[in-house]
Amino acid sequence: MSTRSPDVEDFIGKKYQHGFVTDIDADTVPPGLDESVIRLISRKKKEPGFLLEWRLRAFEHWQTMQEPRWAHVHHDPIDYQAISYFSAPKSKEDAPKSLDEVDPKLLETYEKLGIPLHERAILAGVAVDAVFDSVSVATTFKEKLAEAGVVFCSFSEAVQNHPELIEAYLGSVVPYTDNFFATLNSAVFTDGSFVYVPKGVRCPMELSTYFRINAANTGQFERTLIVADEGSHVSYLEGCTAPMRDENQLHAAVVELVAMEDAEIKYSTVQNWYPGDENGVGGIYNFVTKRGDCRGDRSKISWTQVETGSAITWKYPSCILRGAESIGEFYSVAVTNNLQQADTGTKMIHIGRNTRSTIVSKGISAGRAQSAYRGLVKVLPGAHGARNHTQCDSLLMGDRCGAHTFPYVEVKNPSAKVEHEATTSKIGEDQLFYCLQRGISEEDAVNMIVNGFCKDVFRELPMEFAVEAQNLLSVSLEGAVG
Amino acid sequence: MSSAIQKSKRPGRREAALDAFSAAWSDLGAGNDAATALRRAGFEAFTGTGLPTTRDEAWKYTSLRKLARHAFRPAGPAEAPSPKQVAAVSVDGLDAACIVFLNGRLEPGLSDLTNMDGIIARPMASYLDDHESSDAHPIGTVAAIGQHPFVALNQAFLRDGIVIRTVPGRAHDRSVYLLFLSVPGGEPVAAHPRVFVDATDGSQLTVVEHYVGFGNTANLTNAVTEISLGPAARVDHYRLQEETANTFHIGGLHAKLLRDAQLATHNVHLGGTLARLDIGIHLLDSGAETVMNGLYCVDGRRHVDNQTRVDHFAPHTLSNEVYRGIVGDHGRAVFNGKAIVHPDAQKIEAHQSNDNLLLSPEAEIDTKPELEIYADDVKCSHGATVGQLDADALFYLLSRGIAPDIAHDLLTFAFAEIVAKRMPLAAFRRRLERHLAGVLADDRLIQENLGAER
Repeated sequence: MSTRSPDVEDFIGKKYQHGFVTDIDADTVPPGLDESVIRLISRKKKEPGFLLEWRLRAFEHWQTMQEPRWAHVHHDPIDYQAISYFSAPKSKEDAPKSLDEVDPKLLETYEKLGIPLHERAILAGVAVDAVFDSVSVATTFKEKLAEAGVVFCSFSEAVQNHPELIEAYLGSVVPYTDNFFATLNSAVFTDGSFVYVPKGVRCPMELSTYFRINAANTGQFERTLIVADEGSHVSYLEGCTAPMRDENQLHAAVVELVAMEDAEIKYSTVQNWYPGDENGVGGIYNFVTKRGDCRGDRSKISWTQVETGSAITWKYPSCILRGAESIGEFYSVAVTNNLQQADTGTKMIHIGRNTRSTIVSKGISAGRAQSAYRGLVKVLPGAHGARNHTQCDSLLMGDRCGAHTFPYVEVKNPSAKVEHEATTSKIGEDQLFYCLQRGISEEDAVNMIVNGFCKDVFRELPMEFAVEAQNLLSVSLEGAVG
Repeated sequence: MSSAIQKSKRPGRREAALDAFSAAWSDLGAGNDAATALRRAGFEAFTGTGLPTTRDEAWKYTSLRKLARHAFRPAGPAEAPSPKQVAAVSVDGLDAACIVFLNGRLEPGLSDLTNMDGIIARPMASYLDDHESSDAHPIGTVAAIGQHPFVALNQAFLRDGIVIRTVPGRAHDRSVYLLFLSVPGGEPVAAHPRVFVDATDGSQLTVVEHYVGFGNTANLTNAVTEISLGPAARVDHYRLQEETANTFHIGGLHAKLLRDAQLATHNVHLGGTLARLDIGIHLLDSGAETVMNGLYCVDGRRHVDNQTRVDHFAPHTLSNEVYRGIVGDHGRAVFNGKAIVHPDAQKIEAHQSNDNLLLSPEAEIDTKPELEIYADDVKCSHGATVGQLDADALFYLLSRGIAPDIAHDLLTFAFAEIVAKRMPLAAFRRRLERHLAGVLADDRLIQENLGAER
């Protein structure tokens, strides 16, 4: 920590002596990362001892790791000491207890982003656990969920109220040693969401969280943990938007899903973070580890994602199919325009008998963007009767973009059936011509064709998300043709 | 601590293997300056990277630990098999000039370099002696030492092999049959033969490379073939690998195609304890086309790795790849097919398929069909499957009174036959079909069918 000035050391030292009280709006820790920052985060969040220890073990391990280079993306080196690892809109002590207490200015920001929070919550019957930067500021419909026995709260609340669940499940799917970014997240994560659905409960509503990145220069380290106990069912929606930013921001989230016997988790994402301008300046680095563990027999985990934002997307929502007859699904649309880069896909690890997985991936590249599908289907010797079907298609718009496919298939069981197919094509001139001569503008025609190309995935999205996703697609591809 | 010990052990073994190659290299007789410079470049490239490990993406599924255990000696003079023995193993019915290599060294007594239909065939050693400057000959210009450690190793030991040049505009009816025999030489020996085929403008040629092992040899064959195709040239390249169950076989097949040139590669692996082939094809100008067919049968504890890469550098180029594998016992098959479409290579087509039959619970298949595309007006597809015999088809045969094992064999044969049928050279295909029928338990039905077909 030679980069830090003595003033900063004093600043941090003060916190320990007098508690963390400040009157600045964004309560931000100075950039840099060392053990004291982690201790500070843990202290500020009043975490139990086991969590701090876990964070420190992760940090110790992280220092021995090197940033991976295998992905098909290019970016300037990231200076991990230039990132501030904690940012909260207001200090924890006077956090609002309900929507009414939320700072109207924050609500205004949501409005500007086009998400009328309470309207959506009431109309769609969606409980929203909104994350502004790193700390939850509003949670709705909590009571209704509590009635059903569902725990849906911010991660820090869960740490306070359900430490036994956190201790039992945190890191059980993505261990702190997993990979460079997941390990970093394990050391410094600030908040996120936690869901626990008890035995036999069908969650009465779609659960939804909106992540926002607001303060400049703040890495976002969300941690989401969803546990679906025996025979339960939950559908979780995650949507992301971000305001214009000039500097690259690192986002290294971790999502862990645990599905016990007969449980089902459906996880849907619409990701529309700031992708940088048309010259590739700015934009979010989205390096996310998402993994689901089908721990019980006949459990099911389904990932659906629409990725339109971020300068660089690098994520592989995966399923570990441990339970017999468990099912993993992955449906993805990844749109890259201008200078965006995406290296995304999935991993399906078949361990249990008669496990099944389906992968449908649609990549769309426009401008000078590079989009890659990277997937692994692994069938272990015990996965008798395992079945996988992978379909991955790429659509190219413009002669300077790229679409790449790197599917890994590893099979060690003779009764497994694994199929992979991929195609690459561009929008047919005859299709365009047909639309144009029927009076449909070129832009609309392209939208229509692209939406048709993606319909296998959109079909899997919850209704309100599907509409949003289609709109996002047309915004993302603006100016790609013509 | 145990992991620390293992870590220090592994590079040690690799270094020992490297030392053995280095020692053999320094014993190499001097050539002229050009040849020496080539060998030195190859040696430096090889020692720079060393033996690849499974941490290298291209060797992720193929470990060289077993290979590194051996200190391979350079191939010395060996006792030649009798012409009768040679005839017994060679592909019969070929109308071809036969050139025989013994542990990588050309065996004049068994070779026929006279009746070549105008084709110029020169032993590599004398060819290198005649060329004082490496600018004057194309050896090493097609296979890049930077990307493939074993190409570098082969170039480090560049001495034996053959240089073949066609007559411009002539369609050669007579094929060239290169028979590489691996024979016991006391200790395990390493052979590094290099083949260079210069297919001149508008000429047509069929080349058959056949690798056969004798006795119980545990040799290393590290063969590299370079094919340079001029405008409108056509080469049909067949490669049959039947090494002994103890032999390490590492091969490289690299080609450059100019305008309207056509290259078909037919690659069959039936032997070797560890067999690996890297195919690299550069389609440099429009109209260039390549077809790649492959078949591998892996049993015992054998390991077969096929790596193919096609670079589409120019518009209007085409590649089409079909690979099939049958893997049983403790066998392991690896396939990695790569098609790269470079910027501005518009209107190209690249198709690739890899199907595998996995027949045993101890066997493993790792397949990775890759596409990297930097142009938009392209038609690309790839597919890969791993599975078993179709239960419906099996049931159909059983319901017609065919015994289960015969039905099983018939369907396995039919699975392989799809690739075999894509190989137009009748003598080669017959040899392959006979082998396939031979390894299956009851081949009577198949033999009858083969008979009826002709």
